[in-house]
Amino acid sequence: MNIALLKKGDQRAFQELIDATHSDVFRLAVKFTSNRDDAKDIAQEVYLEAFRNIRDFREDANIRTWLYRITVNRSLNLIKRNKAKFQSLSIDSDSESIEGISAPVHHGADKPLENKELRTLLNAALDKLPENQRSAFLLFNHDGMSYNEIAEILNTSLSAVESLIFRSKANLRKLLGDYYEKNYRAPQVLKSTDVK
Amino acid sequence: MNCQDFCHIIDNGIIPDEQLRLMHEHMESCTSCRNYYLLVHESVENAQDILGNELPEAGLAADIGQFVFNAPPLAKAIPMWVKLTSAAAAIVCGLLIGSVAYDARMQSVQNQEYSYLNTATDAKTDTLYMAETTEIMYRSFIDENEGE
Repeated sequence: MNIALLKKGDQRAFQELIDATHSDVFRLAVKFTSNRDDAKDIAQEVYLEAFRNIRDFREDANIRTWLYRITVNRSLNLIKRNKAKFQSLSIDSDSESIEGISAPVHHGADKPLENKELRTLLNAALDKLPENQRSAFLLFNHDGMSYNEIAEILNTSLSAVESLIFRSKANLRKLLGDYYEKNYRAPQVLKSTDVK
Repeated sequence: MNCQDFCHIIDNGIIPDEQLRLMHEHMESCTSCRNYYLLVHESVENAQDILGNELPEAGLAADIGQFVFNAPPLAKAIPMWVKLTSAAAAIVCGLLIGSVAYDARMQSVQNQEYSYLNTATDAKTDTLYMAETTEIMYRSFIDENEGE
């Protein structure tokens, strides 16, 4: 990637940058928003911002990391702007649980959970996490990003990233565990007592 | 291994290697614990697989390019120091004009106070004042020319 050409505002060089990185930016935005249309809008805004501010980019930095940082900021802004829309995914927005998501009617503890259900529940639990924990967790699960890269994107220290990821995992386990106990195991117990 | 032990290990977050085989054996016969493992352990530890990798549509790169290159140019932002300097200059100008106007007004009031012909405010008093002045002038004239 020719940074000098990019800084001069060369459109062909910038299109090459888009071609090489748009897939990563889009996939990261999908992880934050869980919505392809929103992710597409974010990707467009990310590159527009990058094109307008490319002169401020430090040549010693990694341009992909820089784009990821803009993507995270844009995604979080979109989530804040459309808070009502995003909270509707996890209905019970005030509580610290993911109670609002109802277990599929056909589902019982005797049937294995499908990937789609796991994704829905994981996204609902992620919505309950503080912003910095969610960002660290999603970046950690994006193309095996290193702690160093995450620290650079979130503009924080390495130890802070480790702590954020550790706490995000612990919180997710708690949220998902509580949800499973209430919505999958409890009906199972009721079902077995009904039979008796 | 029973269900309680199974869930307890998962809740701790770290699964010891020696427990893993026993847990897999338990999961084969207990779907409930298997689901618990998938939801609480797998989806957290291997979220990348669960969240998936949604690839963009084929034309997205070209769309982004068009969007970026056809976007209207950003209005040039005015630097903060220019804004602050302008505000300070406006305040200084305001104070200057205000003080000049105040000086002029005070001067005018003073002139009115010391004027012999302040007819506009109290014509009656002024007439009396003029009469007194005339009388004084008359008397002084008489005094000066007393001997002649």
